[in-house]
Amino acid sequence: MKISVPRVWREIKSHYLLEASVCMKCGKIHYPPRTICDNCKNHKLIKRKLSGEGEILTYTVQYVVLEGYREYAPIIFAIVKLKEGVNVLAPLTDVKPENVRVGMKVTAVLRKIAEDEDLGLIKYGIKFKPMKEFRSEENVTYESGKRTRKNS
Amino acid sequence: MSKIYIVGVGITKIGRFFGKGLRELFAEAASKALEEIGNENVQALIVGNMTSSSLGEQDNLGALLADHAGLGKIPAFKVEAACGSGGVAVYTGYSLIASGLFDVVMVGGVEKQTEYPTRIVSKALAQAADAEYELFYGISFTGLNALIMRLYMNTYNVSRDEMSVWPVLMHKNASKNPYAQLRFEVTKDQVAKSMVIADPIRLLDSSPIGDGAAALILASEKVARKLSDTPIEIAGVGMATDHIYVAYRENLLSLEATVLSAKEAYRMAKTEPKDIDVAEVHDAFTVLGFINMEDLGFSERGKTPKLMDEGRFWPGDKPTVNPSGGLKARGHPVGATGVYQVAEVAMQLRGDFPGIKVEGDVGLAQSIGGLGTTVTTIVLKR
Amino acid sequence: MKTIKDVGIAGWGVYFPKYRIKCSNIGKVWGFPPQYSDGLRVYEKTVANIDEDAITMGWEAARYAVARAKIDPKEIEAIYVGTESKPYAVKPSITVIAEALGITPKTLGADLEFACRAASEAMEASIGLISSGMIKYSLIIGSDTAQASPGDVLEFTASSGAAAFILSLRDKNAAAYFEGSYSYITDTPDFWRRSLAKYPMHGEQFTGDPAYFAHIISAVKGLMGELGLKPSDFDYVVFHQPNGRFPLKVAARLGFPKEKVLPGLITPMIGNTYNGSALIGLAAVLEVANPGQRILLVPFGSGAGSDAYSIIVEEGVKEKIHLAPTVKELLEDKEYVDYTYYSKYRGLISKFNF
Repeated sequence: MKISVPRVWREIKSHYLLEASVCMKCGKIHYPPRTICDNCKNHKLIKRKLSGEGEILTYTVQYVVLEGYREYAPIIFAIVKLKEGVNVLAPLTDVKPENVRVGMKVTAVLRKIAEDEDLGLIKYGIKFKPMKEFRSEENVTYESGKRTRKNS
Repeated sequence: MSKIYIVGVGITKIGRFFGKGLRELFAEAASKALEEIGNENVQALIVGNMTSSSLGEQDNLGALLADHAGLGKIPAFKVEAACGSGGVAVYTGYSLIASGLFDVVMVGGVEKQTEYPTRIVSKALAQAADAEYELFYGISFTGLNALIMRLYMNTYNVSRDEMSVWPVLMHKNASKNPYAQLRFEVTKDQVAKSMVIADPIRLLDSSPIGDGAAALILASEKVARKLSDTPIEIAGVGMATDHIYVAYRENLLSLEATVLSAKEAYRMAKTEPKDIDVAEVHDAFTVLGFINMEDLGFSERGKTPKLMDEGRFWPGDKPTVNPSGGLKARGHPVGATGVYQVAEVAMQLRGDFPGIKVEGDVGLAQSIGGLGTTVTTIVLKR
Repeated sequence: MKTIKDVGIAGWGVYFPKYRIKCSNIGKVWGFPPQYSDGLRVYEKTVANIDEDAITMGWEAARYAVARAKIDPKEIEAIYVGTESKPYAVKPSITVIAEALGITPKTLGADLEFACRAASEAMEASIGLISSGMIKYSLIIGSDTAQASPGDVLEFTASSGAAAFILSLRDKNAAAYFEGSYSYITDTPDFWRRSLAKYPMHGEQFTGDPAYFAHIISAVKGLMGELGLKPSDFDYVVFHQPNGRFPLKVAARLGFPKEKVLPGLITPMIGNTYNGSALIGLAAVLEVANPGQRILLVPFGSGAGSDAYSIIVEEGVKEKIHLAPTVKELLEDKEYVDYTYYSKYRGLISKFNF
């Protein structure tokens, strides 16, 4: 067993929901979450889900990958600046290395991060994928099994 | 407060030594250092090491090495700050003498990185990062630094070709250093075309994986002259830490822990960047080499690659940087590196460094753990 | 079957991966006659990325359903996943999805299995739970990374995708409501997968008349009998779609013109997403139907069984369509892969042991 069950379990919300901790006194948002405010040393912090939407500040395409992640090579990692102004480090998915751009808009999705081979746990978490902003055309249809334009 | 000196040094060559383990390597370095002080006894041992537990199944390292180096049943323990363990070991040894508890201590560093294939060693080294939020995703230490390299090149408009001058200088210096792991010269073209590890970091941008050990003997003012004719003063020490989660930091192009630790070391030593004659800085990757120079106050932000391309910091300039070849070419047996750096600067100031010699009175060693998570800066004076 | 209080669809969501492989590629690798897959009327199918599974796709479809329902996820008190490609044989998929949506812990639900109609059973159960007053909102998900043995004719169509529906009592927020339903099951082993087997087996021709056609026709006739409806009362009809031919054939036998089937026939472009199959078709229809129109939804699952639902579209549907990606938008976001990457992503070639 290579993936620790309690470690993965206790971080479910911070990984699946991008749950950060917010200081009730000074308002500072901490991701990863913590129990003591790093700005004012206050001990009362509440949890808040971050939006998962942001843009890429910097990225790398990692070809030499670690044991346990071999099947995902190459892994694209990025530091994403979320709407809230908080930075998050996470892998990118559903995008080719040559299409990644600094400043690209991305959104967080739930994906498999690693598997403890065939018998152990599957570790889920978030990855970022390019945010698509488009509306399909009204008179385009797929009824024939191929993309066709309806006669108006 | 009375002064503290380095009275003996001992280092091994760095390389892949499948035939030597932690104990053999350390004993080699320790005996060289002890020989320099006429085999007098040391009162304590502090060892810097990162992977004895994860790759060597060995804890209780201090006791094991004190035993195998023939030091007796003295107080001995390990300090760990990832790849900056060496610098922290020196800092700790200094503080043990400064506290008045000891007069003579040995500060050692040793690392065995060749016990497993690269993909497993990479995982052990990646433990320098945030286990729950960085390593969790499978990012390697190289990947983390690559994020910074891209940002540096984009922000300061530095080309691949301009970045490549760092490895070229490091390899040229190491070719003269008999202890260095990589003693062949490289060209900028070779650097840019070497295998990509984590884009944009290439193989020749990264320090190699290797084994090695280094030892220093530190002594109080009271006993230093009895042990050595050429004691080198540890004039200033500084250490600082930073947020381990790199994305949490405000400025990704500067390592605040370097700035803070250097400020303290300079203050203690009553020196400024312009006084430094020789510096051994922690260039685990090309980009860190440049950022270190800027954080230590040797050059303006973003300008270091161009300056170095024009000849600044090469042997003959003040400061001369990494005459040993640096982490890039002398090597980086992670936990030991910080001790190597101090040993090399001490040898420079004594005048007996076996490679490129730098004339001077003031030297600096900078050791980083993680991506600027723990930084130790040491200033030495002749 | 009718309920005492009407149950409606508060929101729906669809997700299928952007990667596609052309069926002709598959045919070429395994030496099928050229244009074999054209005969099935399936041209390309979706391929899940190596980091996707029934849980991650189900989550994304559910996320879009929540967006369309315009509710706080915490209000959802039941969650079901109908799937035959559970990532774990024992460990629920619903709990991962529920935590990732922020639904837990006051929740009921389970992973259900009945080949391709498990999600439909979740729909029936939810209709009961809601109309009885036990819960307010239920989230049902049909999600599969369908398996087929490489080289088997099934490989042309077995694809990946998910659909999610949030049901509640019929209110002015509803996109549509259920007029009635009818379920019909028998022990008919037309397609199965033994517990440790990687790929399913099927009875080839046996999957047709005794299974697909018999159960769908019985369920539809049963429903029309109970509700007193005729084929001409329905504006759209969505059948379980294992390929692009069967739905048109069964429509003809039941007396539905093909124009009523085509808007909800998505399989030709994405393959058979098993539990997503009929439900993705329903979503496609909701995106073009008008308030007041009547939809016949007929999922089918091997083993075998079929449900027939009569669904009336409500005023609330139009403003929900663009709150999340539509079926058409997902169809247009595509990138082709060849057989080698498809094999890697779908685990046909070794993942570990290196």
